[in-house]
Amino acid sequence: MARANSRFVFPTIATAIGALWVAVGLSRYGWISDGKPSSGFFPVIVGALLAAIGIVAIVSELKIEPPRFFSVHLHPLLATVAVVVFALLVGFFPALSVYVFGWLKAYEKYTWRFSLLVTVVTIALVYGVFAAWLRVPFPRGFIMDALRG
Amino acid sequence: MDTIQLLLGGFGTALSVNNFFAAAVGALLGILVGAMPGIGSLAGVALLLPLTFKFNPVTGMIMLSAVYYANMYGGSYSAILINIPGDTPAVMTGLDGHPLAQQGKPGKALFTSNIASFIGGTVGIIILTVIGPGLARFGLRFGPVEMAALLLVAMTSLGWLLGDSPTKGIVATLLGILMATMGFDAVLGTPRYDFGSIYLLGGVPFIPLVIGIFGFSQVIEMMELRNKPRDFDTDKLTLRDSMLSRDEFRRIIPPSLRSSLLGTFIGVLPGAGATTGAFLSYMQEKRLGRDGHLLGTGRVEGVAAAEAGNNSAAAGAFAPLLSLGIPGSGTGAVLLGGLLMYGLNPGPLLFQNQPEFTWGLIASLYVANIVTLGVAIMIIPWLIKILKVPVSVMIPVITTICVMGSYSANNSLYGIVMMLFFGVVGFFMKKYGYPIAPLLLAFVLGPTLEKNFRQALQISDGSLAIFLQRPISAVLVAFLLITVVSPIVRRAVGKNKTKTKGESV
Repeated sequence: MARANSRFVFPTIATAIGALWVAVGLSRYGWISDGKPSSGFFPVIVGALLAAIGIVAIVSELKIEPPRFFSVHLHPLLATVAVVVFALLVGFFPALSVYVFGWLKAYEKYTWRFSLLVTVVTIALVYGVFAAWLRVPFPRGFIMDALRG
Repeated sequence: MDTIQLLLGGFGTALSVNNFFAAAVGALLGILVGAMPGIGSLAGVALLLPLTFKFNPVTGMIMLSAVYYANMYGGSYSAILINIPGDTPAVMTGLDGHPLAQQGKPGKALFTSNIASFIGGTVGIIILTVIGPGLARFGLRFGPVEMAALLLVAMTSLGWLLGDSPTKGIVATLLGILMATMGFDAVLGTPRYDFGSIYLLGGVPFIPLVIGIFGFSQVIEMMELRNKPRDFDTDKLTLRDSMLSRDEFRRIIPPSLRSSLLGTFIGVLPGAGATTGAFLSYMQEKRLGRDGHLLGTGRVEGVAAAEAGNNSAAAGAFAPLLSLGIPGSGTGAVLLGGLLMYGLNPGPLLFQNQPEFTWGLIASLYVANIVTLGVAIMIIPWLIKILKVPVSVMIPVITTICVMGSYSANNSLYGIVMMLFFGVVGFFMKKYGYPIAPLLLAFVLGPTLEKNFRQALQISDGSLAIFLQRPISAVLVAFLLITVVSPIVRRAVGKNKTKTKGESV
């Protein structure tokens, strides 16, 4: 049995986006008004072109072998989502420290010493640049906020 | 005379303590990021973009330009030492650089690369100084019609050149333009394509987009490489062993100069860039060089040609960027985005309205070139250590920078969400062979294209014939048609040839 080819997914989404832009542009923002191009004019042209080229891309993609994906590709994404959720509870820097250390120690199996060293250097650098120098107001997290009243 | 005076004024700006420091830090960071395989100049500039928030526009752009520029130096190191190019232009450097390293001369390859990069950069910046103001004066003749035609040429030529196929380049370009239409209509000021979300009302945020699509997508991609060992042909590098002999110096000067001129010319063309500059310079050396037939076997001339070609193209690309607002590459698009972020409008009027900024930036390129050469030579003994940083360590470190950078863009978690989204989009695009640089270029240039295109149609009462009635736009439209039609014709001819061969067998 032929293997499903995932290559058609991306051009199909692109075609759908092009069609959506045409539909929304014509129905909501208009094409020409008082002889002048309206807000929908340019996006409708580009959307129509994308929908048409997207179909050509779908056809040409089906002939090519799909690339391989591995579950490890998902790991940085899942880890970052977890960091963001954790950051909402305990604040950015503690969450990122746990992430960097945990990734190196538990996931990559580096030594305690090495993992700690990389964590300290990384967090010190990003704290220095973003919090101390750029003065970005990072959230302290619900727990820290509650503790501080 | 005027140019020299303005340039001297620019040196006054570039050599202020803050700006000199920014150029030096940019040069160091650019080399480090460029040297690390797998990051590349685009991701490097994208990741370092938030660092410039604190600076005034002149200092911020000086630092970003130094990062971009120094990246070109750094990209060749991993190509020479471990045969993994730090960025695409360095692919050509590796052809002779790595064989040289295998012959036990890695230091000489690195030193040649640095000197040729310096020569290429210097020639490119001198030409930029001379032609930049002229190009801007020429640009003053551009109305909406000419500007729209020029922007179309810039977008299509890059889209066609990169990636597996022209179709994919066009899909990426059109997606970039559509993304740019979200938010407020630049002509009428009315909201559109926000789909009821207050976040999308402001359009797609630039910094999370850039960090996600170049930086985080790279992290996801790196997961495949994290356990691959890197083979070094040498354990130790010293400055002493890296020095070139007088004869070797004599051998690298002619190819460096030839490639610098060609590279700068390529860089000035809208839509071309450092990769094309390096490729064509190497091919030129193969044909014109005294020992051209030996290129690819580990010749310093090959390293010199490729490096001078890519660095001069990188410098030359500043000419259309500053004087016409047209970036020559994806990295140029990030720089253009940075300029717009600072409220500066690159284009013909930039040289007139912001001379302090423009000449300060050009002068800073001279300074950055010298500083980068110094840093690049001093760093040679440390390169093995830098390149030995495992990918598995880089993954959490780059992710942390991505998270912090995208949050700090507008102090909101929305930035991180967008960064993650575009990281995934960028990863899939790379996997399926869709080039990302045209998407970014189109995203940055899209609003200007739309504004000029609509104004052109208003002038002509809706007639597209106006694009053929004006000489500059007519030439640009002809060029555009050639760009669009030539790959189709080439492909059709190729198919016919294959068919005929098949039949004759």
